Amino acid sequence: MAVFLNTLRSSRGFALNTALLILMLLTIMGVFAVRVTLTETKIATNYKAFSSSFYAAVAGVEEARSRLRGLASASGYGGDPLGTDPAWSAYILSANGNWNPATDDPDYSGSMRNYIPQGTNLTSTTVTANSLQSELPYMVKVHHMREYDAQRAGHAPAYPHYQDLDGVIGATFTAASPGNIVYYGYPPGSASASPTLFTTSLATDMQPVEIVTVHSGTEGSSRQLQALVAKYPGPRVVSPLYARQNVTGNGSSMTVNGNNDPTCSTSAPSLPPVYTLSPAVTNLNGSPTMLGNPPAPVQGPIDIDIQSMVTAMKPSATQIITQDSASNNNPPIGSPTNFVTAYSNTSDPYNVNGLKLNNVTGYGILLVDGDLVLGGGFVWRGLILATGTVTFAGGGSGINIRGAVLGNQTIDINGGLDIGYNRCMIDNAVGQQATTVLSWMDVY
Amino acid sequence: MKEKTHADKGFSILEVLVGVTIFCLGMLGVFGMQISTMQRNAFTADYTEATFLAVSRLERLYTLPAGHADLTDKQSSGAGSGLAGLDSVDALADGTQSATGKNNIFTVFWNVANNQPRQGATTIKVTVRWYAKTQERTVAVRSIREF
Repeated sequence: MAVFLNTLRSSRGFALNTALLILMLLTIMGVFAVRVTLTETKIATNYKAFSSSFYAAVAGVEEARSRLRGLASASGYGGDPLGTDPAWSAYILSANGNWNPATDDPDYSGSMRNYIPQGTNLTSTTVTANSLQSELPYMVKVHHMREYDAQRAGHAPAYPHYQDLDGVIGATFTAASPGNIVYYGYPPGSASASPTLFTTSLATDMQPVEIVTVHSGTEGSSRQLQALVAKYPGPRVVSPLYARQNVTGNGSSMTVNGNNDPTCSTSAPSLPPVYTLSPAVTNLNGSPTMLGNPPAPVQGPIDIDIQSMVTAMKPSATQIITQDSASNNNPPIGSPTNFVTAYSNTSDPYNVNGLKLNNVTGYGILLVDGDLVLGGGFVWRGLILATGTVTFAGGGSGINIRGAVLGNQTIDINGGLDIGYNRCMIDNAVGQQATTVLSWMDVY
Repeated sequence: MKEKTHADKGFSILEVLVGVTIFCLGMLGVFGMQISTMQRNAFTADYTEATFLAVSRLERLYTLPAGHADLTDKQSSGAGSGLAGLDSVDALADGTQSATGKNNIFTVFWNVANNQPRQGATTIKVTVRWYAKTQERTVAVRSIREF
Protein backbone atom coordinates (compact mmCIF):
# COMPACT_ATOMS: atom_id res chain seq x y z
CA MET A 1 0.00 0.00 0.00
CA ALA A 2 2.74 2.35 0.97
CA VAL A 3 4.46 1.53 -2.23
CA PHE A 4 1.31 2.29 -4.21
CA LEU A 5 0.74 5.65 -2.53
CA ASN A 6 4.35 6.43 -3.00
CA THR A 7 4.10 5.70 -6.66
CA LEU A 8 0.89 7.70 -7.03
CA ARG A 9 2.39 10.75 -5.42
CA SER A 10 5.43 10.52 -7.49
CA SER A 11 3.41 10.27 -10.68
CA ARG A 12 2.48 13.97 -10.97
CA GLY A 13 4.49 13.58 -14.03
CA PHE A 14 4.76 14.17 -17.67
CA ALA A 15 2.23 11.63 -18.97
CA LEU A 16 -0.69 12.93 -16.92
CA ASN A 17 0.15 16.52 -17.67
CA THR A 18 0.33 15.77 -21.36
CA ALA A 19 -2.95 13.91 -21.26
CA LEU A 20 -4.66 16.79 -19.50
CA LEU A 21 -3.16 19.32 -21.87
CA ILE A 22 -4.33 17.44 -24.95
CA LEU A 23 -7.77 17.05 -23.39
CA MET A 24 -7.91 20.77 -22.72
CA LEU A 25 -6.97 21.56 -26.31
CA LEU A 26 -9.59 19.16 -27.63
CA THR A 27 -12.19 20.65 -25.31
CA ILE A 28 -11.43 24.15 -26.57
CA MET A 29 -11.69 22.94 -30.14
CA GLY A 30 -14.94 21.20 -29.28
CA VAL A 31 -16.35 24.34 -27.72
CA PHE A 32 -15.54 26.26 -30.88
CA ALA A 33 -17.15 23.57 -33.01
CA VAL A 34 -20.26 23.80 -30.85
CA ARG A 35 -20.29 27.56 -31.21
CA VAL A 36 -20.01 27.29 -34.99
CA THR A 37 -22.86 24.78 -34.98
CA LEU A 38 -24.99 27.05 -32.84
CA THR A 39 -24.37 29.91 -35.28
CA GLU A 40 -25.26 27.64 -38.19
CA THR A 41 -28.44 26.62 -36.41
CA LYS A 42 -29.31 30.26 -35.87
CA ILE A 43 -28.71 30.99 -39.56
CA ALA A 44 -30.96 28.10 -40.56
CA THR A 45 -33.70 29.13 -38.12
CA ASN A 46 -33.45 32.75 -39.26
CA TYR A 47 -33.70 31.72 -42.89
CA LYS A 48 -36.83 29.73 -42.10
CA ALA A 49 -38.30 32.59 -40.04
CA PHE A 50 -37.43 35.06 -42.80
CA SER A 51 -39.12 32.88 -45.41
CA SER A 52 -42.19 32.31 -43.27
CA SER A 53 -42.68 35.99 -42.47
CA PHE A 54 -41.97 36.99 -46.06
CA TYR A 55 -44.60 34.65 -47.44
CA ALA A 56 -46.99 35.67 -44.67
CA ALA A 57 -46.53 39.28 -45.83
CA VAL A 58 -47.07 38.22 -49.46
CA ALA A 59 -50.26 36.50 -48.31
CA GLY A 60 -51.33 39.79 -46.74
CA VAL A 61 -50.91 41.61 -50.05
CA GLU A 62 -52.85 38.84 -51.77
CA GLU A 63 -55.71 38.93 -49.28
CA ALA A 64 -55.94 42.70 -49.73
CA ARG A 65 -55.97 42.26 -53.53
CA SER A 66 -58.62 39.60 -53.19
CA ARG A 67 -60.79 41.83 -51.01
CA LEU A 68 -60.56 44.72 -53.48
CA ARG A 69 -62.10 42.55 -56.17
CA GLY A 70 -65.75 42.40 -57.08
CA LEU A 71 -68.90 44.21 -56.07
CA ALA A 72 -68.91 46.24 -52.87
CA SER A 73 -71.96 44.27 -51.79
CA ALA A 74 -70.17 40.93 -52.17
CA SER A 75 -69.16 38.94 -49.13
CA GLY A 76 -65.67 39.76 -47.89
CA TYR A 77 -65.25 42.97 -49.86
CA GLY A 78 -62.86 45.30 -48.04
CA GLY A 79 -62.34 48.27 -50.35
CA ASP A 80 -63.78 51.75 -50.60
CA PRO A 81 -67.26 51.40 -52.17
CA LEU A 82 -67.06 54.84 -53.77
CA GLY A 83 -63.35 55.38 -54.39
CA THR A 84 -63.62 59.14 -53.96
CA ASP A 85 -62.62 59.81 -50.33
CA PRO A 86 -58.91 60.80 -50.09
CA ALA A 87 -58.88 60.02 -46.36
CA TRP A 88 -60.26 56.51 -46.81
CA SER A 89 -58.15 53.74 -45.27
CA ALA A 90 -58.87 50.25 -44.06
CA TYR A 91 -57.03 47.58 -42.11
CA ILE A 92 -57.09 43.82 -42.34
CA LEU A 93 -56.02 42.31 -39.03
CA SER A 94 -55.20 38.64 -38.69
CA ALA A 95 -56.33 36.80 -35.58
CA ASN A 96 -52.76 35.55 -35.25
CA GLY A 97 -50.66 38.35 -33.79
CA ASN A 98 -53.06 40.45 -31.71
CA TRP A 99 -52.67 43.45 -34.00
CA ASN A 100 -53.71 46.95 -33.12
CA PRO A 101 -53.31 49.55 -35.87
CA ALA A 102 -52.80 52.46 -33.48
CA THR A 103 -49.76 50.85 -31.89
CA ASP A 104 -48.48 48.46 -34.56
CA ASP A 105 -48.64 50.70 -37.62
CA PRO A 106 -45.78 53.23 -37.59
CA ASP A 107 -47.67 55.33 -40.16
CA TYR A 108 -50.94 55.30 -38.24
CA SER A 109 -52.76 58.57 -38.73
CA GLY A 110 -55.86 59.71 -36.87
CA SER A 111 -56.82 61.87 -39.84
CA MET A 112 -57.48 58.77 -41.95
CA ARG A 113 -60.71 56.79 -41.75
CA ASN A 114 -58.97 53.66 -40.38
CA TYR A 115 -61.89 51.36 -41.04
CA ILE A 116 -61.68 47.73 -40.02
CA PRO A 117 -64.30 46.18 -42.36
CA GLN A 118 -66.32 43.51 -40.60
CA GLY A 119 -68.65 41.40 -42.70
CA THR A 120 -70.97 43.77 -44.53
CA ASN A 121 -70.05 46.71 -42.28
CA LEU A 122 -67.34 48.36 -44.36
CA THR A 123 -67.01 51.34 -42.02
CA SER A 124 -66.58 49.57 -38.69
CA THR A 125 -63.73 50.94 -36.56
CA THR A 126 -63.83 48.34 -33.80
CA VAL A 127 -60.35 46.87 -33.38
CA THR A 128 -60.84 43.16 -33.88
CA ALA A 129 -59.46 40.48 -36.17
CA ASN A 130 -61.21 40.80 -39.53
CA SER A 131 -58.93 38.80 -41.82
CA LEU A 132 -60.57 36.01 -43.76
CA GLN A 133 -57.89 33.65 -42.49
CA SER A 134 -56.42 33.21 -39.03
CA GLU A 135 -53.21 31.23 -39.54
CA LEU A 136 -50.82 33.75 -41.04
CA PRO A 137 -49.90 36.68 -38.81
CA TYR A 138 -50.23 39.97 -40.62
CA MET A 139 -51.71 43.44 -40.53
CA VAL A 140 -52.59 45.06 -43.85
CA LYS A 141 -53.31 48.72 -44.41
CA VAL A 142 -55.02 49.81 -47.64
CA HIS A 143 -55.47 53.43 -48.60
CA HIS A 144 -55.84 55.43 -51.79
CA MET A 145 -52.69 56.85 -53.35
CA ARG A 146 -52.98 60.63 -53.11
CA GLU A 147 -50.75 63.30 -54.56
CA TYR A 148 -49.18 63.56 -51.11
CA ASP A 149 -48.19 59.88 -51.21
CA ALA A 150 -46.79 60.25 -54.72
CA GLN A 151 -44.79 63.29 -53.64
CA ARG A 152 -43.34 61.40 -50.67
CA ALA A 153 -42.37 58.60 -53.06
CA GLY A 154 -40.48 61.10 -55.22
CA HIS A 155 -43.04 62.50 -57.64
CA ALA A 156 -42.00 65.91 -58.95
CA PRO A 157 -43.03 67.88 -62.07
CA ALA A 158 -39.70 66.97 -63.65
CA TYR A 159 -40.03 63.29 -62.66
CA PRO A 160 -43.75 62.61 -62.84
CA HIS A 161 -45.09 59.39 -61.33
CA TYR A 162 -48.51 60.10 -62.83
CA GLN A 163 -50.19 62.42 -65.33
CA ASP A 164 -51.09 65.62 -63.52
CA LEU A 165 -54.45 66.39 -65.11
CA ASP A 166 -56.19 68.05 -62.17
CA GLY A 167 -54.77 71.50 -62.94
CA VAL A 168 -52.63 71.68 -59.79
CA ILE A 169 -48.99 71.19 -60.68
CA GLY A 170 -46.05 71.76 -58.40
CA ALA A 171 -48.07 72.16 -55.21
CA THR A 172 -46.69 70.92 -51.92
CA PHE A 173 -48.99 68.50 -50.18
CA THR A 174 -49.21 67.59 -46.52
CA ALA A 175 -50.88 64.83 -44.58
CA ALA A 176 -53.64 67.30 -43.73
CA SER A 177 -54.18 68.33 -47.36
CA PRO A 178 -53.11 65.28 -49.35
CA GLY A 179 -54.37 66.49 -52.73
CA ASN A 180 -56.40 64.45 -55.18
CA ILE A 181 -56.54 60.70 -55.52
CA VAL A 182 -54.31 59.18 -58.19
CA TYR A 183 -56.37 56.95 -60.48
CA TYR A 184 -55.47 54.12 -62.79
CA GLY A 185 -57.21 53.77 -66.12
CA TYR A 186 -58.00 55.98 -69.06
CA PRO A 187 -57.89 59.74 -68.46
CA PRO A 188 -60.94 61.55 -69.85
CA GLY A 189 -60.10 63.11 -73.18
CA SER A 190 -56.98 61.05 -73.77
CA ALA A 191 -56.73 59.00 -76.94
CA SER A 192 -54.56 56.31 -75.40
CA ALA A 193 -55.76 52.72 -75.41
CA SER A 194 -53.42 51.66 -72.59
CA PRO A 195 -54.15 52.53 -68.94
CA THR A 196 -52.05 55.07 -67.05
CA LEU A 197 -51.84 56.72 -63.64
CA PHE A 198 -53.39 60.18 -63.52
CA THR A 199 -55.23 62.73 -61.44
CA THR A 200 -58.33 64.50 -62.66
CA SER A 201 -60.58 67.30 -61.55
CA LEU A 202 -63.48 65.79 -63.49
CA ALA A 203 -66.04 63.84 -61.50
CA THR A 204 -66.02 60.71 -63.62
CA ASP A 205 -65.93 57.06 -62.83
CA MET A 206 -62.33 56.12 -62.01
CA GLN A 207 -60.52 53.41 -60.07
CA PRO A 208 -58.13 54.71 -57.40
CA VAL A 209 -54.62 53.34 -57.04
CA GLU A 210 -54.46 51.63 -53.66
CA ILE A 211 -51.35 51.49 -51.51
CA VAL A 212 -51.25 48.15 -49.71
CA THR A 213 -48.81 48.00 -46.80
CA VAL A 214 -48.34 44.72 -44.97
CA HIS A 215 -46.65 44.12 -41.64
CA SER A 216 -46.08 40.52 -40.77
CA GLY A 217 -44.41 38.93 -37.80
CA THR A 218 -43.71 35.29 -37.19
CA GLU A 219 -41.07 33.25 -35.38
CA GLY A 220 -39.44 36.49 -34.22
CA SER A 221 -38.97 37.84 -37.71
CA SER A 222 -40.91 40.85 -38.95
CA ARG A 223 -41.37 42.07 -42.48
CA GLN A 224 -42.95 44.95 -44.31
CA LEU A 225 -44.05 44.86 -47.93
CA GLN A 226 -45.73 47.57 -49.93
CA ALA A 227 -47.60 47.17 -53.19
CA LEU A 228 -49.47 49.54 -55.45
CA VAL A 229 -52.57 47.85 -56.79
CA ALA A 230 -55.61 48.98 -58.72
CA LYS A 231 -58.78 47.39 -59.92
CA TYR A 232 -58.40 45.97 -63.38
CA PRO A 233 -59.37 48.83 -65.70
CA GLY A 234 -60.63 46.58 -68.50
CA PRO A 235 -60.54 47.71 -72.09
CA ARG A 236 -61.07 51.36 -72.91
CA VAL A 237 -64.75 51.81 -73.74
CA VAL A 238 -65.15 54.55 -76.36
CA SER A 239 -68.63 53.57 -77.51
CA PRO A 240 -71.15 50.81 -76.87
CA LEU A 241 -70.17 49.32 -80.22
CA TYR A 242 -66.47 49.36 -81.16
CA ALA A 243 -64.90 47.67 -84.17
CA ARG A 244 -61.43 47.67 -85.64
CA GLN A 245 -62.96 46.97 -89.04
CA ASN A 246 -66.13 48.05 -90.80
CA VAL A 247 -69.51 48.05 -89.11
CA THR A 248 -72.50 47.31 -91.32
CA GLY A 249 -76.06 47.86 -90.14
CA ASN A 250 -79.01 46.50 -92.11
CA GLY A 251 -82.59 47.37 -91.24
CA SER A 252 -84.18 49.98 -89.07
CA SER A 253 -85.19 48.00 -86.00
CA MET A 254 -81.99 48.73 -84.16
CA THR A 255 -81.07 51.16 -81.40
CA VAL A 256 -77.50 51.95 -80.34
CA ASN A 257 -77.31 54.40 -77.45
CA GLY A 258 -74.04 56.02 -76.33
CA ASN A 259 -75.64 57.79 -73.36
CA ASN A 260 -74.98 56.15 -70.02
CA ASP A 261 -77.98 54.10 -68.94
CA PRO A 262 -80.19 56.21 -66.60
CA THR A 263 -80.40 53.28 -64.16
CA CYS A 264 -76.63 53.61 -63.60
CA SER A 265 -75.86 56.16 -60.89
CA THR A 266 -72.18 56.40 -61.84
CA SER A 267 -71.45 59.57 -63.74
CA ALA A 268 -69.94 58.85 -67.11
CA PRO A 269 -69.74 61.09 -70.16
CA SER A 270 -71.91 60.31 -73.17
CA LEU A 271 -70.22 58.44 -75.99
CA PRO A 272 -70.91 58.13 -79.70
CA PRO A 273 -73.01 55.01 -80.47
CA VAL A 274 -70.47 53.38 -82.79
CA TYR A 275 -66.70 53.86 -83.00
CA THR A 276 -64.56 52.36 -85.74
CA LEU A 277 -60.78 52.42 -85.90
CA SER A 278 -59.67 54.59 -88.84
CA PRO A 279 -59.92 53.95 -91.72
CA ALA A 280 -62.78 51.51 -90.99
CA VAL A 281 -66.24 53.02 -91.45
CA THR A 282 -69.84 52.42 -90.42
CA ASN A 283 -72.34 51.72 -93.20
CA LEU A 284 -75.98 51.96 -92.21
CA ASN A 285 -78.60 50.70 -94.65
CA GLY A 286 -81.96 51.77 -93.30
CA SER A 287 -82.76 54.28 -90.61
CA PRO A 288 -81.65 52.89 -87.25
CA THR A 289 -81.84 54.90 -84.02
CA MET A 290 -78.44 56.29 -83.06
CA LEU A 291 -78.14 58.16 -79.76
CA GLY A 292 -75.21 59.62 -77.85
CA ASN A 293 -72.65 62.37 -78.19
CA PRO A 294 -72.46 62.84 -81.12
CA PRO A 295 -75.61 60.84 -82.00
CA ALA A 296 -73.94 59.26 -85.02
CA PRO A 297 -71.18 56.72 -85.67
CA VAL A 298 -67.64 58.10 -85.56
CA GLN A 299 -64.24 56.84 -86.64
CA GLY A 300 -61.04 57.58 -84.80
CA PRO A 301 -57.49 56.57 -83.95
CA ILE A 302 -58.06 54.64 -80.69
CA ASP A 303 -56.72 51.17 -81.38
CA ILE A 304 -57.82 48.71 -78.70
CA ASP A 305 -55.78 45.52 -78.67
CA ILE A 306 -58.72 43.15 -78.26
CA GLN A 307 -56.67 40.01 -78.82
CA SER A 308 -54.35 40.73 -75.87
CA MET A 309 -57.30 41.87 -73.75
CA VAL A 310 -58.96 38.49 -74.31
CA THR A 311 -55.69 36.69 -73.57
CA ALA A 312 -55.23 38.73 -70.38
CA MET A 313 -58.75 38.17 -69.08
CA LYS A 314 -59.40 34.56 -70.02
CA PRO A 315 -57.48 33.05 -67.05
CA SER A 316 -60.19 34.49 -64.79
CA ALA A 317 -62.94 32.79 -66.76
CA THR A 318 -65.12 30.61 -64.56
CA GLN A 319 -67.33 29.46 -67.42
CA ILE A 320 -65.93 27.87 -70.54
CA ILE A 321 -68.43 27.72 -73.41
CA THR A 322 -67.64 24.89 -75.79
CA GLN A 323 -70.81 24.70 -77.83
CA ASP A 324 -73.60 26.83 -79.26
CA SER A 325 -76.61 27.57 -77.11
CA ALA A 326 -79.74 25.48 -77.49
CA SER A 327 -82.78 27.03 -79.10
CA ASN A 328 -84.29 27.76 -75.70
CA ASN A 329 -84.14 27.01 -71.96
CA ASN A 330 -80.47 27.91 -71.73
CA PRO A 331 -79.18 28.35 -68.16
CA PRO A 332 -78.21 31.96 -67.41
CA ILE A 333 -74.53 32.92 -67.22
CA GLY A 334 -73.91 34.73 -63.93
CA SER A 335 -76.56 36.76 -62.14
CA PRO A 336 -77.15 40.43 -61.22
CA THR A 337 -75.25 39.84 -57.98
CA ASN A 338 -72.60 37.56 -59.46
CA PHE A 339 -70.86 38.87 -62.55
CA VAL A 340 -68.71 36.19 -64.16
CA THR A 341 -66.21 35.85 -66.96
CA ALA A 342 -67.16 33.41 -69.72
CA TYR A 343 -64.71 32.30 -72.39
CA SER A 344 -65.08 30.42 -75.63
CA ASN A 345 -62.38 29.37 -78.06
CA THR A 346 -64.12 28.50 -81.32
CA SER A 347 -61.15 26.49 -82.59
CA ASP A 348 -60.81 24.32 -79.48
CA PRO A 349 -63.07 22.42 -79.84
CA TYR A 350 -63.67 23.54 -83.40
CA ASN A 351 -66.99 25.32 -83.77
CA VAL A 352 -67.90 25.82 -87.40
CA ASN A 353 -68.84 29.44 -88.23
CA GLY A 354 -68.06 30.56 -84.70
CA LEU A 355 -69.96 30.62 -81.44
CA LYS A 356 -73.70 31.08 -81.83
CA LEU A 357 -75.68 32.27 -78.82
CA ASN A 358 -79.39 32.96 -78.60
CA ASN A 359 -81.97 32.89 -75.81
CA VAL A 360 -79.21 33.32 -73.23
CA THR A 361 -79.08 35.84 -70.41
CA GLY A 362 -75.66 36.69 -69.04
CA TYR A 363 -73.89 39.00 -66.61
CA GLY A 364 -70.19 39.75 -66.83
CA ILE A 365 -67.58 39.49 -69.56
CA LEU A 366 -68.00 37.31 -72.63
CA LEU A 367 -64.66 36.59 -74.29
CA VAL A 368 -64.61 34.85 -77.65
CA ASP A 369 -61.48 33.70 -79.46
CA GLY A 370 -62.97 33.55 -82.93
CA ASP A 371 -66.25 34.59 -84.53
CA LEU A 372 -69.40 35.33 -82.57
CA VAL A 373 -72.98 35.13 -83.86
CA LEU A 374 -75.71 36.46 -81.59
CA GLY A 375 -79.34 35.66 -82.19
CA GLY A 376 -82.75 36.51 -80.82
CA GLY A 377 -83.30 36.46 -77.08
CA PHE A 378 -79.68 37.21 -76.29
CA VAL A 379 -79.48 39.47 -73.23
CA TRP A 380 -76.14 40.58 -71.80
CA ARG A 381 -75.10 42.93 -69.01
CA GLY A 382 -71.43 43.82 -69.17
CA LEU A 383 -68.76 43.46 -71.83
CA ILE A 384 -68.46 41.34 -74.96
CA LEU A 385 -65.08 40.97 -76.67
CA ALA A 386 -64.54 38.93 -79.80
CA THR A 387 -61.27 38.46 -81.66
CA GLY A 388 -63.09 37.54 -84.87
CA THR A 389 -66.18 38.93 -86.56
CA VAL A 390 -69.39 39.68 -84.69
CA THR A 391 -72.77 39.13 -86.33
CA PHE A 392 -76.03 40.23 -84.76
CA ALA A 393 -78.98 38.37 -86.21
CA GLY A 394 -81.63 39.35 -83.76
CA GLY A 395 -84.84 37.74 -84.87
CA GLY A 396 -87.64 36.93 -82.47
CA SER A 397 -87.36 38.82 -79.22
CA GLY A 398 -84.25 40.63 -80.41
CA ILE A 399 -80.91 41.30 -78.73
CA ASN A 400 -80.56 43.44 -75.64
CA ILE A 401 -77.11 44.47 -74.42
CA ARG A 402 -76.30 46.94 -71.62
CA GLY A 403 -72.58 47.56 -71.51
CA ALA A 404 -70.38 47.47 -74.58
CA VAL A 405 -69.35 45.21 -77.46
CA LEU A 406 -65.80 45.29 -78.82
CA GLY A 407 -65.00 43.49 -82.05
CA ASN A 408 -61.55 42.88 -83.45
CA GLN A 409 -62.87 42.51 -87.00
CA THR A 410 -66.09 43.48 -88.75
CA ILE A 411 -69.44 43.81 -87.00
CA ASP A 412 -72.60 43.06 -88.99
CA ILE A 413 -76.00 43.91 -87.63
CA ASN A 414 -79.10 42.38 -89.14
CA GLY A 415 -82.36 43.03 -87.40
CA GLY A 416 -83.65 43.59 -83.91
CA LEU A 417 -80.97 44.97 -81.67
CA ASP A 418 -80.85 47.24 -78.64
CA ILE A 419 -77.38 48.14 -77.35
CA GLY A 420 -76.98 50.74 -74.62
CA TYR A 421 -73.89 52.03 -72.86
CA ASN A 422 -73.99 51.20 -69.15
CA ARG A 423 -70.92 52.15 -67.14
CA CYS A 424 -72.14 50.37 -63.99
CA MET A 425 -72.50 47.03 -65.79
CA ILE A 426 -69.03 47.41 -67.32
CA ASP A 427 -67.54 48.27 -63.90
CA ASN A 428 -69.27 45.28 -62.31
CA ALA A 429 -68.03 43.02 -65.09
CA VAL A 430 -64.37 44.08 -65.08
CA GLY A 431 -64.43 44.34 -61.28
CA GLN A 432 -64.47 40.53 -61.21
CA GLN A 433 -61.05 40.43 -62.77
CA ALA A 434 -58.02 40.14 -60.49
CA THR A 435 -56.63 43.47 -59.35
CA THR A 436 -53.62 44.76 -61.24
CA VAL A 437 -50.33 45.02 -59.34
CA LEU A 438 -48.60 48.20 -60.52
CA SER A 439 -45.51 47.95 -58.34
CA TRP A 440 -44.21 45.94 -55.45
CA MET A 441 -41.63 46.81 -52.84
CA ASP A 442 -39.88 44.88 -50.08
CA VAL A 443 -39.54 47.57 -47.40
CA TYR A 444 -37.63 45.41 -44.94
CA MET B 1 5.63 15.15 3.82
CA LYS B 2 8.07 15.11 1.02
CA GLU B 3 9.54 11.70 0.74
CA LYS B 4 12.23 10.30 -1.31
CA THR B 5 10.97 9.51 -4.75
CA HIS B 6 12.33 8.20 -7.95
CA ALA B 7 9.95 10.35 -9.95
CA ASP B 8 10.85 12.55 -12.91
CA LYS B 9 12.80 9.68 -14.28
CA GLY B 10 10.44 8.49 -17.05
CA PHE B 11 6.97 6.94 -16.55
CA SER B 12 5.99 4.19 -14.27
CA ILE B 13 3.48 1.75 -15.61
CA LEU B 14 0.89 3.05 -13.14
CA GLU B 15 1.49 6.63 -14.17
CA VAL B 16 0.86 5.68 -17.75
CA LEU B 17 -2.24 3.69 -16.80
CA VAL B 18 -3.76 6.54 -14.83
CA GLY B 19 -2.87 9.03 -17.58
CA VAL B 20 -4.41 6.88 -20.26
CA THR B 21 -7.56 6.28 -18.18
CA ILE B 22 -8.13 9.98 -17.56
CA PHE B 23 -7.37 10.74 -21.19
CA CYS B 24 -9.82 8.13 -22.34
CA LEU B 25 -12.54 9.38 -20.02
CA GLY B 26 -11.97 12.92 -21.29
CA MET B 27 -11.92 11.75 -24.86
CA LEU B 28 -15.28 10.07 -24.37
CA GLY B 29 -16.76 13.43 -23.40
CA VAL B 30 -15.06 15.24 -26.27
CA PHE B 31 -16.17 12.53 -28.63
CA GLY B 32 -19.75 12.76 -27.47
CA MET B 33 -19.65 16.51 -27.97
CA GLN B 34 -18.15 16.07 -31.40
CA ILE B 35 -20.78 13.58 -32.45
CA SER B 36 -23.65 15.73 -31.26
CA THR B 37 -22.06 18.71 -33.03
CA MET B 38 -21.81 16.76 -36.25
CA GLN B 39 -25.37 15.56 -35.95
CA ARG B 40 -26.55 19.09 -35.24
CA ASN B 41 -24.55 20.37 -38.22
CA ALA B 42 -26.10 17.77 -40.50
CA PHE B 43 -29.57 18.63 -39.20
CA THR B 44 -28.93 22.33 -39.76
CA ALA B 45 -27.79 21.69 -43.31
CA ASP B 46 -30.91 19.59 -43.92
CA TYR B 47 -33.11 22.24 -42.35
CA THR B 48 -31.68 24.97 -44.59
CA GLU B 49 -32.02 22.76 -47.62
CA ALA B 50 -35.61 21.84 -46.73
CA THR B 51 -36.55 25.50 -46.27
CA PHE B 52 -34.96 26.28 -49.62
CA LEU B 53 -36.91 23.47 -51.29
CA ALA B 54 -40.16 24.68 -49.72
CA VAL B 55 -39.53 28.25 -50.88
CA SER B 56 -38.61 27.12 -54.41
CA ARG B 57 -41.77 25.08 -54.69
CA LEU B 58 -43.87 27.96 -53.38
CA GLU B 59 -42.30 30.36 -55.88
CA ARG B 60 -42.94 27.87 -58.63
CA LEU B 61 -46.59 27.59 -57.65
CA TYR B 62 -46.73 31.40 -57.77
CA THR B 63 -45.74 31.43 -61.44
CA LEU B 64 -48.32 28.91 -62.62
CA PRO B 65 -51.49 30.15 -64.33
CA ALA B 66 -54.84 29.89 -62.60
CA GLY B 67 -56.45 26.51 -62.93
CA HIS B 68 -53.16 24.65 -63.45
CA ALA B 69 -53.26 21.03 -62.32
CA ASP B 70 -50.65 21.75 -59.62
CA LEU B 71 -52.91 24.45 -58.19
CA THR B 72 -56.00 22.30 -57.99
CA ASP B 73 -57.27 20.86 -54.74
CA LYS B 74 -57.32 17.21 -55.77
CA GLN B 75 -57.65 15.64 -52.37
CA SER B 76 -60.36 16.81 -50.01
CA SER B 77 -61.67 18.73 -52.96
CA GLY B 78 -65.19 19.93 -53.54
CA ALA B 79 -66.97 23.13 -52.67
CA GLY B 80 -66.93 23.98 -49.01
CA SER B 81 -64.00 21.74 -48.15
CA GLY B 82 -62.36 24.95 -46.93
CA LEU B 83 -58.89 24.68 -45.52
CA ALA B 84 -59.12 20.94 -44.91
CA GLY B 85 -56.20 18.87 -46.06
CA LEU B 86 -53.55 21.60 -46.08
CA ASP B 87 -51.27 19.46 -43.94
CA SER B 88 -51.72 16.30 -45.98
CA VAL B 89 -48.68 14.24 -46.91
CA ASP B 90 -47.97 11.17 -49.02
CA ALA B 91 -50.86 10.00 -51.17
CA LEU B 92 -53.24 12.59 -49.74
CA ALA B 93 -51.15 15.59 -50.80
CA ASP B 94 -52.18 17.62 -53.84
CA GLY B 95 -48.64 17.46 -55.19
CA THR B 96 -45.48 15.52 -54.40
CA GLN B 97 -41.89 15.83 -55.51
CA SER B 98 -38.80 14.01 -54.35
CA ALA B 99 -35.50 15.83 -54.09
CA THR B 100 -32.05 14.48 -53.31
CA GLY B 101 -30.12 16.84 -51.13
CA LYS B 102 -26.49 16.98 -50.09
CA ASN B 103 -26.80 14.35 -47.43
CA ASN B 104 -30.45 13.40 -47.32
CA ILE B 105 -33.49 12.70 -49.44
CA PHE B 106 -36.36 15.16 -49.12
CA THR B 107 -40.00 14.86 -50.12
CA VAL B 108 -41.82 18.07 -51.00
CA PHE B 109 -45.59 17.98 -50.51
CA TRP B 110 -47.85 20.84 -51.43
CA ASN B 111 -51.51 21.33 -50.71
CA VAL B 112 -53.82 24.00 -52.00
CA ALA B 113 -57.23 25.22 -50.87
CA ASN B 114 -59.01 26.87 -53.79
CA ASN B 115 -61.21 29.91 -53.13
CA GLN B 116 -59.64 30.36 -49.71
CA PRO B 117 -59.72 32.78 -47.98
CA ARG B 118 -61.95 34.38 -50.62
CA GLN B 119 -63.44 33.50 -54.00
CA GLY B 120 -60.61 33.59 -56.54
CA ALA B 121 -57.74 33.32 -54.04
CA THR B 122 -55.86 30.12 -53.22
CA THR B 123 -54.20 29.19 -49.95
CA ILE B 124 -51.01 27.21 -50.49
CA LYS B 125 -48.98 25.22 -47.97
CA VAL B 126 -45.73 23.50 -48.82
CA THR B 127 -44.41 20.88 -46.42
CA VAL B 128 -40.94 19.36 -46.81
CA ARG B 129 -40.28 16.12 -44.99
CA TRP B 130 -37.07 14.22 -44.38
CA TYR B 131 -35.69 11.72 -41.92
CA ALA B 132 -32.80 12.50 -39.61
CA LYS B 133 -31.74 8.91 -38.84
CA THR B 134 -35.22 7.54 -38.23
CA GLN B 135 -36.76 10.66 -36.81
CA GLU B 136 -39.25 12.46 -39.05
CA ARG B 137 -38.60 16.18 -39.57
CA THR B 138 -40.71 18.71 -41.45
CA VAL B 139 -40.51 22.32 -42.53
CA ALA B 140 -43.64 24.11 -43.77
CA VAL B 141 -44.22 27.45 -45.46
CA ARG B 142 -47.69 28.82 -46.06
CA SER B 143 -49.00 31.66 -48.18
CA ILE B 144 -51.94 32.91 -50.25
CA ARG B 145 -52.11 33.63 -53.94
CA GLU B 146 -54.72 35.80 -55.61
CA PHE B 147 -55.32 35.46 -59.31
